[in-house]
Amino acid sequence: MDFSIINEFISPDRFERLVIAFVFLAVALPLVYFVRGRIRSVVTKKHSEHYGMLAAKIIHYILMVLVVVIFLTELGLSLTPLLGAAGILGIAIGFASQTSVSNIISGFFLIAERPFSVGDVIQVGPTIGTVLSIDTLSAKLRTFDNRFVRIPNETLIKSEVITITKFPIRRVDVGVSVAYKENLKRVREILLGIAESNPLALQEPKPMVNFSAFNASSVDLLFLVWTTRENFIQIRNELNEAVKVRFAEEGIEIPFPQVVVHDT
Amino acid sequence: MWEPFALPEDNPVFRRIGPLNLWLLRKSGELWIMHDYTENVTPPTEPPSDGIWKRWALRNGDHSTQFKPTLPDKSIMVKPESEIHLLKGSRVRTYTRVPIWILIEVIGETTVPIVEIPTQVLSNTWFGGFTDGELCYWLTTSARRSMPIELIQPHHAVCIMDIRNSSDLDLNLDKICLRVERLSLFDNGGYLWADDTVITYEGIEGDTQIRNDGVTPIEVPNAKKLNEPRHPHKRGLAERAFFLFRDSGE
Repeated sequence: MDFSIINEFISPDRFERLVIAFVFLAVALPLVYFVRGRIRSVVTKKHSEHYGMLAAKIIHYILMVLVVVIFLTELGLSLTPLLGAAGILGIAIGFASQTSVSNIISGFFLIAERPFSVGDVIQVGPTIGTVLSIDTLSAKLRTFDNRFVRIPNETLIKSEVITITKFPIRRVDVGVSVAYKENLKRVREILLGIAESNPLALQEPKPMVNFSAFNASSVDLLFLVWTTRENFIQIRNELNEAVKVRFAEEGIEIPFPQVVVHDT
Repeated sequence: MWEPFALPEDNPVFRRIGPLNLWLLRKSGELWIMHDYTENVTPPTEPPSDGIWKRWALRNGDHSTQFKPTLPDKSIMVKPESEIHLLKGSRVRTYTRVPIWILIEVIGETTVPIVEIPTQVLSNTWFGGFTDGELCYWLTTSARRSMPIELIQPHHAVCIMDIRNSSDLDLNLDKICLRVERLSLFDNGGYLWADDTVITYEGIEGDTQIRNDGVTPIEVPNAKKLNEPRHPHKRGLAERAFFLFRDSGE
């Protein structure tokens, strides 16, 4: 077999540089991922998951650029023509990818303004989910039925986003309808008693029963109870069930529309 | 009540502490614990049939169990019997009965904490504003100006607050946040007491000095220290002890 062509192309000196470059790559890449992981875990522990992810990304990109530059230098490639080509390529790509650029810039605004963080539950249009990550182009959510949703950063900047878990406490609104014949003072006492006996209900801010409307066949009330954001779903279920049970025990009628069909 | 006791194999041991009913069972190298709450005067004879046992695998050499009284894991919101107005320069000493928690420990070569169980389930409340604050327990019993001994039950710890108004304004005491996690516990002949919490109001909301010295209260000078605070207090911190919601939240 004739190795002369290969020998001519890869001189012993060039071969040595090639080996050094790949050894460097083999050592540097795992090191970059290790440093990224450590930075993420330390910053997350000290601050929050949001900042942990952000710090890890910044460090990752800086280190990766450094690794690539050193790798190419070790190979003996001059960076000047590459950077020139990258400039021309950048302009071409910039024109072709305005949406992506918009998403990247929107991503910076999201990080700076911080309307929500990783781990928050947000609502965007009809979608409700937990924020898994805020990336360069998009934010990733996990919905409660375990679907993965990708929302472009530009959409998040342009549309209304509700951060459900922003504040530590939330109010549960339970709509209650009672018949016109019922004593509203007694109904109010029963509802406040339900709130008082539920350990998940906060006693301050005080639970309230507000008048809502005179409806066609019922007096509508709004039963308002505060709880911590973690207990919101559980207490909403418990309050509705307790209202049904207590009203039945106390003989308070919950009216509902009835249709009488006459057979002629 | 706080001395170590041995658990016989396959023979449940029952303890009643206030409304808390507690069953402990040693079985096949495991410790089984079940609890529930009843307000009846007559204690239940058998564990509830629908109750759930929690189980811990014991180490070789674990021979006995011990109860340790502790104070709740969160601060407690206390209301005075009726709203008190503290004139500038005045001070009051109040007494509050706080339901304790029971820490169950297993004793072998070393003592290992197993679980903490409240003797009474307390409601939650919020101390702070709508955007920040802290979760506290809500106490239905109030802070009193005196504490007759007949009111103290074995599952209560008497917590003392010495409130001083050092500001130039009168102070209306409507609700007070009692930071029980910083209190030590003392045993005075079967009755539990906590050390003093000295609250000095300086006049600006959020600038209140709270001090816990961890020493025996003057009311029970011969009491024996049972337990250290969960979170010892860092001295010199200015913090909130009084807060009123100004927004109805509607």
